[in-house]
Amino acid sequence: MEFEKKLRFSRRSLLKASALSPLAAQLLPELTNVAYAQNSVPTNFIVFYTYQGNWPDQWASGTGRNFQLSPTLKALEPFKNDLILTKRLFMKSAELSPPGDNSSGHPQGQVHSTTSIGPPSGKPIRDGNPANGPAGPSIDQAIYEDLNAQAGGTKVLKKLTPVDSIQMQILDRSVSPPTQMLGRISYTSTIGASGYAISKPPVQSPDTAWKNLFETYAPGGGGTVAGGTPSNEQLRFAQRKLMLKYAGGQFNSLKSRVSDIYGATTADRLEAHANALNEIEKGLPQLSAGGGTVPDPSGGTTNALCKVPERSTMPNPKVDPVSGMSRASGWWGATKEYMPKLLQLGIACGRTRFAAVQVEDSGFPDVHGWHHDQRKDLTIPFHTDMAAQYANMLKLLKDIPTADGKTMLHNSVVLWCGELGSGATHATNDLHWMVAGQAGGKWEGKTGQLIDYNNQTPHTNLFLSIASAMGAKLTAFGDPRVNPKPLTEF
Amino acid sequence: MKRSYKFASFAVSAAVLFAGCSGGESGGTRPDIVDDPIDLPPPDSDEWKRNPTKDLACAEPLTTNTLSSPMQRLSNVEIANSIRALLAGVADPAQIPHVTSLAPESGRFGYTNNVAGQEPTRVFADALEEFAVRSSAAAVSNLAKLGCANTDGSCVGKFVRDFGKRVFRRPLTDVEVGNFQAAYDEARKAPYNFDHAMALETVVGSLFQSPQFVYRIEEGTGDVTENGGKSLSGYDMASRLSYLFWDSMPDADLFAAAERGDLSKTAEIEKQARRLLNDDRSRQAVLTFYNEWLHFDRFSANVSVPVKDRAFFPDFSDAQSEGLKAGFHRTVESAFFDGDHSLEAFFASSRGFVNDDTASIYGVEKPGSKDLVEVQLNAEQRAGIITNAGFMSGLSHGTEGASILRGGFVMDRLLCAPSPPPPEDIVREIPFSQTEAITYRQRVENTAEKGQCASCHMALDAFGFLFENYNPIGAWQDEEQARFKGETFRLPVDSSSTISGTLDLDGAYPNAIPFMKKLAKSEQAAQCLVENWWLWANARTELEEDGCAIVPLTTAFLKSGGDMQELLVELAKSAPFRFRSAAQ
Repeated sequence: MEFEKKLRFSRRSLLKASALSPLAAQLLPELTNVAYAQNSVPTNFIVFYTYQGNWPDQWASGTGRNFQLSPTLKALEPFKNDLILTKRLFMKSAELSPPGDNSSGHPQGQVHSTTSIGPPSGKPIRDGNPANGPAGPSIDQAIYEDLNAQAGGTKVLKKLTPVDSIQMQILDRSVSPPTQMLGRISYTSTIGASGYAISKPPVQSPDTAWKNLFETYAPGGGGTVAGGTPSNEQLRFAQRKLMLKYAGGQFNSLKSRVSDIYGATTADRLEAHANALNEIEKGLPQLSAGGGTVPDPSGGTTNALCKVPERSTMPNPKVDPVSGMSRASGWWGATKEYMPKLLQLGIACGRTRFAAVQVEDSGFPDVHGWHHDQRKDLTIPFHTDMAAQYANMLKLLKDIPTADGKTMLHNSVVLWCGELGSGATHATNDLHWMVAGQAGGKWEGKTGQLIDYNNQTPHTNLFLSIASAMGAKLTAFGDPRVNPKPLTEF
Repeated sequence: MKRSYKFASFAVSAAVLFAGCSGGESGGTRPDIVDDPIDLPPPDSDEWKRNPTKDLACAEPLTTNTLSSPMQRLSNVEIANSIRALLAGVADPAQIPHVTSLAPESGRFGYTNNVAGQEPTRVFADALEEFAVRSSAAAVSNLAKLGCANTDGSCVGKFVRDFGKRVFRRPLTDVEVGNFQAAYDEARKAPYNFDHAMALETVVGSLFQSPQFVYRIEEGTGDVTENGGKSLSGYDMASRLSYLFWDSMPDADLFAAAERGDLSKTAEIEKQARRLLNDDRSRQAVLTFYNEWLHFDRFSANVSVPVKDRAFFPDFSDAQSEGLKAGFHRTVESAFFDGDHSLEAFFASSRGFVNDDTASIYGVEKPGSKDLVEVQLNAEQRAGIITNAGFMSGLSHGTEGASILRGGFVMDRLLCAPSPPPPEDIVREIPFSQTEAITYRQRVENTAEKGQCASCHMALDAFGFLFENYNPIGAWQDEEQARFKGETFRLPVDSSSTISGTLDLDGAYPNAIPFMKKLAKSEQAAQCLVENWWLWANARTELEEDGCAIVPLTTAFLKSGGDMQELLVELAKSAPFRFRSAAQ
C-alpha cells in the first residue's frame, strides 16, 4: 500500500486542499496559512547524509552561476536555483588528527564529517562501533542546542519544538548485516565518561519515527482543550502513564528490601531505574478530569488542523522467528518512501525543526566494493538514486507553503554531505557537497551557484555559515586548530 | 575484584588492534556496541602479571556459598523469552515485539548479562516501556485465554495472583495484589473510563515493567548456614535454573517443584537440570553463551562481503557469508548436544557442517544441498570449532593475516590469560616493507615484536601465528597473498610456533592442528571454560574467591571426560550455585 493511501484524511480535508500542489493536496490538505500562522517562520535544518562520496567528474561542472549538473544529478534540475554547490571542501580536522586516529576512510570520515573533530585525545575512533566517537557535537546538534538555549531551554527543557530533533535511517533490512555503513552522524555536546560525545542513534523504522515525532502530538493545536472528549491516542498516553505509575510504585516499595538483601549500591540502581520510569511518565500528556490533555509544556507549534496518519499504518520490521533476524522484504523502498514524508509532516506540524537523514548504501549491494574496484559504470546508478532521494526531500519541502508566502524549502537549510570525497579513493578531501534552501531568506540571491574551494577551505567553514544563517551564535565549533571562519560567499 | 578488569581487556584491545593492524580502511559492519571503552590498568601494571590459572586456588571446596550473588537484571533475551512464555497460547507471537526492540546491551564487562554493564538508563527504560506496551496489547487480544474475561472486573484479583505469580516468578504478596487491583480500578474510573480490556491491559503493562519482573530479587528462605551461606527459596532456585538453561522463566514443572520444596534437594536439582537440558529451549540458550564466550557475537560481523578485500576474494558471496556463520552455529550446537558433548570434540573434531555455498571454502565436495550437511573435513586442516572456517573468517581482517587478533583471542578467551592492551602512545600500524614483498607474519615480527611492544607481543603472537594457514574467508592456505608496489605476490605461509608460559600447552607446533588437539585435553583450557560458565551463571565479573567454586567444578568436569553437559549439571548442583552469601 502506498504511503498516501494509508493516511486517513477526510473528504472535506481533501476538498479544501485542492488549491495546493498535488502532493501537498494528498498529504497535508489543510496546511495553507496554518502550519506557519505566525509572524515569523522558523528555519529548519536537515542533514541529508549519503555514503561512498562521489565521482568528481560525474557531479557538476562550471563555476559561479554558470554551472551544469551532470546526468547523475539530473533529478536536481528543478531545484538548481535553490542550491549552492560547494565543490572541493576538505576535512581539515581529519588531516590534523593524531597518528592514533588512523582509521582512514569511512570511520574517520564519518566521525569528522558532521563534527569537524576527531576522537578524544589519545583515544581511537571506535572503528566498528556505530557511535564512532568524536570528542564534540555534530553541527545539527550544536545549532539546535544554541537556539534552544537562546530560547531559555536547557539540555532537558525543550523550548523550540516538542521534539528536539529526529534522526532517520533509510536502509535495507532484508540484507544481512542490515547496513553496510553502520554509523552515527548526530552527536550532542554531552560528553561521556571516556571523553566521547554522546550520539543520537537514528531510527530505522517508520513506525519508530512516527512514535518519536507524533506520540505526544495532541491534535487540537498547541496542546488540547481540557473538557473535550479525549481521542483514542490521548487515552493510550493516559494508559501508559498509569502503567508507569503503578510499576514505579513497586520500585519504591522494594527499595529498602533490596537494600537489606544486596546493599545500598544495588538499591541505588533500583532507584535510578525508578527515576527513569518517572521521567518517562512525566513526559506523557496528562488526561485532565474533564477529558482532553493539558497544554503541551514544551511550547511546540502544533497545528490544530495538521492531520497525522494513524501509527498502525506505519510499516514495521518483520522478524524472522527462526533466525531472530529483523528482516523486511522491501524495507529499502518502505523507508525511502516513508521517512522523508514523515519528516515533511513532522516539520509542517511544528514537531521539530532539526533532522538528520542517513541513506545507507545497503539498497545497492556491492556498491562499496565497486568503488574500490573503480567500477564507475556500476556505481553511477547508486549516485543517481542518492541524488533522486535528495531531490525528493527538496520537493517535499517545496510542496508545503508557509505563512510568509514562501515554502518550507525556502525556510530551510538542507545540507547534502557524507563521509568521503571521492568514493574511489576513500579520502576526506575533495568533498562535493551542497546545500539547498534560502535559510528563511538569508541566502536569497546566494543560491543557484557553484563555488569551487579547491581543497583549500575546511568544511568547518560551511558549518559556521549554516549556523549563522540559522541564527545560532556559535563562538567555536569542532577542532580549534582548524580555526574556522564563515564562508564569505554565504 | 581486581581481575574483573582483565576479563574485559580483550574486547578493548582487540578492537584497538583490529583497527590498527588492518592495513587499510574497512567499510564493514560490527555489532552495535554502544559503550565507551572501559578504563584499563596501564600495561605495566601488576594487574597483568598474575597467572589466572594459578590464582584460582582454593583451600577447600565450599559447602555453601560465601560468594557474592548480585541482583541480576534479566538480559534482553531473557526479557523477550519470558514475555513470550507468559503469553504462549494467549497472544499471536507475531504481535509480541522481537528482542531487538530492546535497548542495545553493554559488551563492556565480558558478557551482556553482567550486572556491571546493566545500567538502568533512560534508553533501557524507554525501550522496555515500549516493549511492555506492545506486549500488553497483544496479551488482551483474547481475554478468555488470558484468564480474565468477566467484563465486570470480578476476575481481576485472581488474575493478578495467577498471572502475576508467573510474571514475578513467585507468589505475590497481598500488598502487591492490592497495587495492581488499584491500577485496574483507577483505569475504570473517570477521567479514564477504560473498558475492561483496556484496564486489564494497563495491569499487564504495569506488571511487565515492575522490578519484580525485570530483576531477579532473591528473597531466600531466611535460613543461614554455619558457613555463612543463605538458603534460596524454591522460587529463587527455579529461576536460577530456568535462566541458566533456557534464558527464560520457569515452566510449570519448575514452579511445582518450587512449591513442593523439592528444589532444596540436590537430586531434584539434578533431575530438573537434565530435563531442562533435554528441552529444545536449552539449545538457543547454550548457543548464546558460546557466542558470547567466543566473541562470535562480535566477530561474526567480519564474516561479510564488504569487509573482505574484493581483489583477493572476488568470489566471496553473501550466501557464503551466511553459510559460514550458520555452519559455525550448527557446529557449536552439535558439539554440545550430540555425541559425547566433550570439550575434546569441541576443540579437536574434524567434523563440520557445510552446504553447496561453503563446501569450496573447506575444500570438500558440494553436498548437493543448500541446507547444512554434516561432513568429514580434512583432519590435517580442521580441528574443532576454532579452526571452523566461519570462526576463522570472523577472526580475520579483510585482506591479510590476523595473528595479533587471533593470538589475543586464544590467550583471553581460551586460556583466561589475557594480554595487556598496547600503550596508548604507540603507533598502531604494521607497516609494509619498503624493499620486498613479505608476509603479514614477517611484518608483525619486524614491528610489533620489536622495542617496547616485544614483551607482550612475542607471547601473544606465538598463539596467533599458529593460525596463519587460515585466510580471511576461513579457507586453508599454504601461501598467502601479499601486495608490494601495486603487485600481488604469493608467499609461503609459516604457521610454526613455540608456546611457553602456559600450564600444560608449552611446546613447539607446526601449525594450529596439533595445538588444538593438545588444547582439547588441556586443564587450563578446561578450567577457562568452567570459569566462563561460572561467570555467565552469576552474571558478574570475577572475584578472587571464585576459585573456590571453579576449582571443584573443573575437577568434576575433567573427571567426566570433559562432558560439557555434565559441567552444567554439576554447576547447577554445586553449593555455590544453590546458596548465596548472607554477608552482602
